[in-house]
Amino acid sequence: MANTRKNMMDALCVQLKTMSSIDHAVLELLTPSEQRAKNKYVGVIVGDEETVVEDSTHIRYRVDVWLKPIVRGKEIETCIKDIKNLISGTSNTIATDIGALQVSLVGMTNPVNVTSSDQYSSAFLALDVLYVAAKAGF
Amino acid sequence: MADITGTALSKLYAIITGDTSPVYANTYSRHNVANLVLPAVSVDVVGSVPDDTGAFGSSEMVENHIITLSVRVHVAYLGGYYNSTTAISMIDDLRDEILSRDNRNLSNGYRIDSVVSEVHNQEFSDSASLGSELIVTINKVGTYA
Repeated sequence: MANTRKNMMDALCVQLKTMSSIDHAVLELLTPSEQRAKNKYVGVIVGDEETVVEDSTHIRYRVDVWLKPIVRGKEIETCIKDIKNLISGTSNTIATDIGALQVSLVGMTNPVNVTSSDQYSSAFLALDVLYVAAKAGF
Repeated sequence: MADITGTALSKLYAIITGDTSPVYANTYSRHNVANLVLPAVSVDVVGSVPDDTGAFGSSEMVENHIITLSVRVHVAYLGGYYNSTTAISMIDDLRDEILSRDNRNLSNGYRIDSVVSEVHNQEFSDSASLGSELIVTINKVGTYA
């Protein structure tokens, strides 16, 4: 099976980087010092995945994806607003752009400081991503 | 006996794919579809029961069947937005098409009997989608062989 999910997450990173409030989007959580070196960074973390529907040729999956933006101080609010707009704005094409069937924002944590008396802020945004992959041999 | 449910299904499917206003780009002849592309229409067999059978007199035995089929329109995936305007307009158009006089006679003894029910805002587990459903019955009159 082609690595549909990896290709989709790479495409999601590309889309996240198009926002002015993000400079780096990578498929890993960086260490604190690496995060500081890449200020305006969002980590894309792939979580649980389940089969939603299966027929003779294809499988439709639903996968949890977490976005963790880490930026300086109050810029976190702008960053969250931009991500929300990218995922669920009125004219968004994020699902088509990354090759998924549907992308929806299902939850968010409070923005918090990464560590106490730190100037960097962070939040978790939870996404549901639906995508289809052909079964091997088709 | 020929596979009457399969034939009834393909005849109903042909009516839907032959509908030119609007054109349903994504039609499926089964409900279980993983790579469903929205908006979509799917058709599947629910069941078939024998109706009255004439076995008296000198004539051949006549065997009737009532075949129940389901027609679904899909407007969203689970977790998405069920757009009732889209769903209702699609299902109304399909209903008109299925019940039109030109389409009722399916030839070879098959005839569209009625649209038994129309239900909206459904969650379909076969395809993990939201939409509306029509239940259609088709009569098959055959000669016992």
